[in-house]
Amino acid sequence: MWILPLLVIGLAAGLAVPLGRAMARALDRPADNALERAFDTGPQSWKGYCLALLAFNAVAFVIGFGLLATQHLLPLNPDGKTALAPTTIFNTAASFLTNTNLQHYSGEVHLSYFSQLFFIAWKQFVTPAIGLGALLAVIRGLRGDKHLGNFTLDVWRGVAYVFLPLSLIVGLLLILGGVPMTLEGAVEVTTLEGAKQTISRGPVAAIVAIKQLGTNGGGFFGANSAHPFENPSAWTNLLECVCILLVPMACVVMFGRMVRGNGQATVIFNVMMAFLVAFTVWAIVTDTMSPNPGLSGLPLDQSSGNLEGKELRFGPSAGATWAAATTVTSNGSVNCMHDSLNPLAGLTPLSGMWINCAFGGVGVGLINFLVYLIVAVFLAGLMVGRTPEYLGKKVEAREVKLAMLALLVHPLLILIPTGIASVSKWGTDATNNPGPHGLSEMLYEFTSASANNGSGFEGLGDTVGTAEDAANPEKAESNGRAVVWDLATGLVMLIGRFVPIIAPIALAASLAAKKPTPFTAGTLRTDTLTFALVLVGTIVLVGALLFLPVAALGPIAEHLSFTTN
Amino acid sequence: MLARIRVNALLLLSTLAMGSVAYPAVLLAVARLVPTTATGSLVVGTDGVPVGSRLIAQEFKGDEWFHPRPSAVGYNAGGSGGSNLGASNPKLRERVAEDLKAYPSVAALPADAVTTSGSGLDPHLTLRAAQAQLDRVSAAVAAKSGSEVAATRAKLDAALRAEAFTSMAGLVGGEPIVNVLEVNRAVRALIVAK
Repeated sequence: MWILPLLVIGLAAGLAVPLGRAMARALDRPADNALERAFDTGPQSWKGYCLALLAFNAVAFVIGFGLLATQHLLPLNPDGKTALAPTTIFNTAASFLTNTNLQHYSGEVHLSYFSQLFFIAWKQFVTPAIGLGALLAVIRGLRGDKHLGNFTLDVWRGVAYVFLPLSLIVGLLLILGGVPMTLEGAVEVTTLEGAKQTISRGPVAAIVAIKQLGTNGGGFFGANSAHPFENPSAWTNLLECVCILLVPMACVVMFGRMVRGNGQATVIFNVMMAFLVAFTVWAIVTDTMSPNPGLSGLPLDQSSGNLEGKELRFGPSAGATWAAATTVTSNGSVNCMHDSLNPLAGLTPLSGMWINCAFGGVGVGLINFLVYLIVAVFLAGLMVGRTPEYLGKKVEAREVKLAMLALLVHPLLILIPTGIASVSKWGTDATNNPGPHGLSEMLYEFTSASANNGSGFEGLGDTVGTAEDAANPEKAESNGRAVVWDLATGLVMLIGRFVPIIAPIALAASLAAKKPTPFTAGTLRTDTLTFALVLVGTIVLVGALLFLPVAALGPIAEHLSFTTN
Repeated sequence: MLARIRVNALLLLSTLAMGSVAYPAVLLAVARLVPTTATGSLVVGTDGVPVGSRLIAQEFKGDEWFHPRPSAVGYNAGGSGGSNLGASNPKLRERVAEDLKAYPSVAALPADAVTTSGSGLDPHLTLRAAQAQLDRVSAAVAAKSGSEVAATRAKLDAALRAEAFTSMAGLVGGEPIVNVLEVNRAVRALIVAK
């Protein structure tokens, strides 16, 4: 049971070291051939970099929206998928622009192969590269570069040098592992009992590989990597789970190389690892090693743990392990249904997304962590009476203000909408489960949106679907609710993506402009075990404690309801 | 400004060309090396027509078949999903209690037999949960094929054991499981062979 998580984390960490070094070499140098120079518009200030980032994202949003809105007119549509509902298009366009991949639709029901390849796969390549570019800009600022690099060059390199080669390798392995890769439409079979079954398929391997590698998470099928075509065996499950962690881990190694501070990177890596291990162990203990409390007293053998929403072929601890990995990173793919996790086990994905910085999304996870680190430096400096400094630059009021802006937007985007939803009909009527679990469903949805994660307690009724569904008078009531969920989570995803990217870039540029201060005996060391503990404390106190009340009302209350009955 | 528009257009087109055209094209070419799994691991019946996919659960209701895990989506292979029922939802307990009625004599049924999977299409069942259906299946198969119940039961049990495997040879834990479509093909062979 413990071998799977050890394999996943061990393999990912082992592969991340050489990958991170290679990324530092490939991404952090001047344009040195004609192709790279074509993308290089020259060195950019923080404002220039952010403007380029926003402009490209605006264009990508419009193109994505257009592709989805016209899918019924476009080719590669063997199953005749029809036009989508307007708010489904908006939500999906926002979701895939922000690397969230929240899916208020079901892939095999609603999307054509053209939409899967030209919208989904394209966004899944580009948006992690944008996150990686933002991280490169932040690191360049932290180490005191005059300029933060060039946005288009960074994104092109991220796609061409990192995600394309990795996806080709993983896609190839998935195909050998039994994942379908075809442009043929769904096939109708006559079952042994004589019934008809229509089996959806498609270019699945291509989507799954980049979905896992780019902390995307948006699956080809509604059931994501629980679907046997996305994840046919325990071997593919191991591969896909390693891919969740690989690039986010490599980002930390790359950081160490770029700032020539492997000690700094080691502290960061180990603190992130501590959270990942803690969340994984928690989920395995409360879900794999504990029966489903709702079924206690029935004549059942629950020795493999809670099996509701789980697949058998991956092994008993696979769902819990994946649930931790996919939410500390902002991946959001699933291989079991999180809504059916045991109540306490549900705290693992929620907590992972609340702190959102233990490896985190490609690029942005480490950015979030560095923001926590600036706050930790500031707090530690106050406590011991030393000038707070990081990498030889003084941390002052402006930096802390920007850091707090980046950090506080996350709990605000989760708690305020969850509060509103929990007293609104569009909120409570959309839940699939009564009582505290219903609150958890709404809380999870906004947490996932703000953390740009994309997983869900999928029982929540948040899907309109096709234009035909939208016009169906019988569905008017549920559509009315889903429209609000589409719009609300769409906005949360957009704010939750761009504020925590832009504020840290400004912060890094502000540090870059300062005179370096010499390293003396009075300097606060940021590469020690003591500082690692301060970091853990800061993340828990600033990041997680805000969510304790709502955790008590949701998962913890649900758990306690079993002990009192 | 014009230069900026040009470089943005270049980035858009080159990433589309790489991620949406070249990348899937290469994988589609590779997939031709493994045509069976790349098109959905379809299982072809004696008449050459596909009877299902090895990877996708299909519904079996008759007494003569081994029944797969229950499905929250009615084994709809064009719309996968789980029940999304939380532990505290009374609907979960009611559904499981109802499904347990099919196993009146079993004291501790492996839970996979009455829990829905994440996809609703889990093709597997634990060996023990399949064996818990042996009484019903062997009686029905014996009646259809006109053979003796005990002998049929022994043959079916052997077929189950022959199909059973443990994921990653047991490395990741878990008990032996069987592919329900494969064991039911063995059942059909028994019925037809009468």
